[in-house]
Amino acid sequence: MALKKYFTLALAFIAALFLDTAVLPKWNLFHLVPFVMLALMLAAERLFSLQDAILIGAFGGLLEDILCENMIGLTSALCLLAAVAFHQITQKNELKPAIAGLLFAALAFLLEAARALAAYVIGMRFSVFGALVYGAFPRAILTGLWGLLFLALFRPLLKGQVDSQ
Amino acid sequence: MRKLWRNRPVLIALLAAALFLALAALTVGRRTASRAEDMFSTAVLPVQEAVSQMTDAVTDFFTRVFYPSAIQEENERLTRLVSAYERRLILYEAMEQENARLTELLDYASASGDFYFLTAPVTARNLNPYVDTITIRAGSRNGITEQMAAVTAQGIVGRIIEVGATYAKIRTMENEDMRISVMVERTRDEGMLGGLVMENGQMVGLKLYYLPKDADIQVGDTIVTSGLGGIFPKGLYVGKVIFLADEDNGEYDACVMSDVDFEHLEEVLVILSKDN
Repeated sequence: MALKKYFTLALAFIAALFLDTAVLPKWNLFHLVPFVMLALMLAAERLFSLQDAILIGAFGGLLEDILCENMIGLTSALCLLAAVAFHQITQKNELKPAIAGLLFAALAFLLEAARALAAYVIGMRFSVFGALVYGAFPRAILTGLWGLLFLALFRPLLKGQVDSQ
Repeated sequence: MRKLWRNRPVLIALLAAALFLALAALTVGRRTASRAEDMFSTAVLPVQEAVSQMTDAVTDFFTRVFYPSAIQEENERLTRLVSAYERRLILYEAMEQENARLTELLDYASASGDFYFLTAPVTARNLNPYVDTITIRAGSRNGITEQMAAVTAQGIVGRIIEVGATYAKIRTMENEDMRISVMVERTRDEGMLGGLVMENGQMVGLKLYYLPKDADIQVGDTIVTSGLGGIFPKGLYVGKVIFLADEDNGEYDACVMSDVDFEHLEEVLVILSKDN
């Protein structure tokens, strides 16, 4: 039974990797590109376990960094911190799907803000207001929606294997 | 370790995050890819390129279905462009002959004669929108080295900042930190181009500054590279002046619009030196 879970997660992982690096940046609708790997990781934490989320966040972030970034490891680190934060919140609170979606978006926003900060620290210059309002905020909303999509897709697919928290 | 993994995943995640942050700090500003990165990128890039091509095909299909007028406009634009290039080609041929004669006469190599172009497909864009890099499928095996210039027929794209065996990363002109030395083609006034002119969070063009005070610049003037700095050869098309800054604007003199569509780049030309 666990095999089905890992097979589904592996497929979703590969899809997220290529969506993030090759597909969505090209469609780039209104400059809005969601962070699908983060959405997948948070959905895996919600439905399965923190360990699954850690594996997805660490490897997904690292591979995406190698393919596209200049600071190798930054995305992994931010994903792992987001997974831990999400785990701490959901451990103590029962979340409805809509609230989970909002939490996905909030964490995605914080991650985008941290990326902008990292870029600023290494010497990139841009409008902070523009980066947060026109960049991070809509990207975070889209990431939240992708998270809800993963939750909706995984639940029926993996009936019986989803942790009932 | 297995027990720790089961009982203390938060601790492991935090430790791993700290290690990844240290790795990120170590890799900032690095110019050459590691062996492991090279191997992974070499394995994944063909698949990524195939996915990228499929994405383009799907995008084209939907554009044709939902925006037939856009295709017609594109067709008309391209027809005009081809006519303009044909006219320019005739001029270039005459200039090329003249240039050859003068070069021979004065016994020095012209700047553009020192370079060859390599076509490379774009395989990925960076995830962090504030860093503005794209990845191409060509690397040190193809003769690419750091700081080489990347261009398209529409103008300058950026410069190479990292090189692997089979791939390279380019920082684009959309990046706030990119600076190139340029001149106004008509008046030969030299200046500096770089930094973004923003309106409502959207980029409208690039800042042109350090022009001489008596520079006679006008809207519609063509901006080309000046050749200073050694990265971009002299005379490459950069863009056109779309508006002049107010006199009390001490930040820049004019706004230059590049014709390069940075969001939809599919191939770029990397300028190689003759030695490579």
